[in-house]
Amino acid sequence: MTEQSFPLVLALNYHHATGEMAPYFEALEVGRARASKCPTCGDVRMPPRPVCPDDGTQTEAIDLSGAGQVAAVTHGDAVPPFGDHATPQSFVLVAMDGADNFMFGRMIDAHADDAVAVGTRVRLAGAQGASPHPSGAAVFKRDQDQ
Amino acid sequence: MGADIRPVVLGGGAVPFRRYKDGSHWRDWVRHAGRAALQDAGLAPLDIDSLVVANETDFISLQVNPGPVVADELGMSGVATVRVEAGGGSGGAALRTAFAQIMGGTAKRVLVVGFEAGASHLSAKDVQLIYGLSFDAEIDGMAGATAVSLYALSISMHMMALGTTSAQMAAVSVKNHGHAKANPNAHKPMDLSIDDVLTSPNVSTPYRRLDCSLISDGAAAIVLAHPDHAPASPTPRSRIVGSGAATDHARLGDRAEPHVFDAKARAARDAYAMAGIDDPASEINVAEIYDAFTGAEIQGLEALGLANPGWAGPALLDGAYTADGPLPVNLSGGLIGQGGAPGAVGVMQAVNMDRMLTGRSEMASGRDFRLGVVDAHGGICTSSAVHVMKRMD
Repeated sequence: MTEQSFPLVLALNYHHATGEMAPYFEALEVGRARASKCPTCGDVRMPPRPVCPDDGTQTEAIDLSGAGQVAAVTHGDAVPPFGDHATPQSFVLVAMDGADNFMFGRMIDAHADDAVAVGTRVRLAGAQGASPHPSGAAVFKRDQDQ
Repeated sequence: MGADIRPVVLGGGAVPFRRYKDGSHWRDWVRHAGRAALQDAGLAPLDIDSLVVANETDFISLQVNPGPVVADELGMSGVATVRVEAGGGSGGAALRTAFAQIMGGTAKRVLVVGFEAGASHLSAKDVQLIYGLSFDAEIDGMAGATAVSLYALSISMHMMALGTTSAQMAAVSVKNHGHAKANPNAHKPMDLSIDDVLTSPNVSTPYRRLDCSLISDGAAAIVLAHPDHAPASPTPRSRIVGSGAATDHARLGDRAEPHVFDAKARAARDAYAMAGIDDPASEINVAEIYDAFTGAEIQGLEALGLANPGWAGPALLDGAYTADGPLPVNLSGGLIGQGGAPGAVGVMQAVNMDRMLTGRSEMASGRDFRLGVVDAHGGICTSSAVHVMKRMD
């Protein structure tokens, strides 16, 4: 069999919409927490869910403080696929104050010798430079007010 | 109660999981795997009346609607076909689709073909980007989530909640790489020590390089049949006696307990009920578990009811899941040793399990297995398919 392979470049340009999540993203970019609250059971989610996962009710918007506590952290040199980030990186699950779930995000200024720990108080930091998608603003900083 | 029409396995085939650098194309792999499965089943291409194709993403294959292409490659154009996609669990979902077709009476003999060109077709960075879309792409993926970061967050909470240790996870890597030595289709068979794993480079704490599964190319195929349409066989056969599937919240953070693979637990519960299994830990002889990362095997063992929460890790260090242990797990090597070709993994698990149950695999080391479970999932156990396979008497 003739062995053959060759480079093939496929560049895709998307016109990507944020849909009804737009208010969440707009708030995220300025460091605010636009969450959802179920009018039936009171379940609060950040990031928001349009329909309550517990009872199927359409949720309402609610603003949280933007602060929370780190529930889990991972630290490494893997470069995130979107955006232009330096390594190393710390990613966290944060229990946002007032929410019943956890929010995934990235810590700013992560350093291997000063990695954020579980229990650390953090706060949404807002957009950190240009990002190809507004979810790139899911970034936390240590909460200096605590 | 009506006749038992749960599908019989007629045969299987595969091409080894590798990073192919020989200029071959996935069309070659599905043709070789599919023809091997048909030969093993003693069937001709036109004996098949349904073709189910499992493939995770056309971003990698560059082929939308691969079903008719696979049918052409195998000489069965005209057959009904559907492509099934559930991330890394695509093969398991395809098995369930074939199972449902036979149980529902729309097909008599189904060929399930899974494939992925994950290793050779794109750079590792591009594959990582695409696989990062396997979760909630909009909310978490675009925020920087990758498979390793989400799995790492999940297992770190398992460590906090249940005391799981890095050494216990390393034992999975040692075991699965070692098991792969008996599997000629395996991508990375090798001897390792726990210390080797614990000193390999950090990827995303607590996961190190040797805690991570492989990105592989490959294909696997299996023929399932309604019992009334299975040719007589002088040798033992296996059948699928239980099938279950379930989902979990796409965002890891939306789960009440992010360290628990709840979708797998619910899929397993349904599969066990169909199979008449009351106590999986004592009844199941052998398991192939979706070990995308070492900790995922621990989480999988617990979700599948093969270990109580917090007990899988200590049992691993005691050798409970090795080839000569009481419940061998991932004798193929799993994704860690055999390799991770997402569309093909779930199908390959069933091919291997059939051979082990029917005494046709070196991986079984001569042991007599009668009842096994195969488990594949997509995302971070966001979608799960669990099947119970049993040797027919």
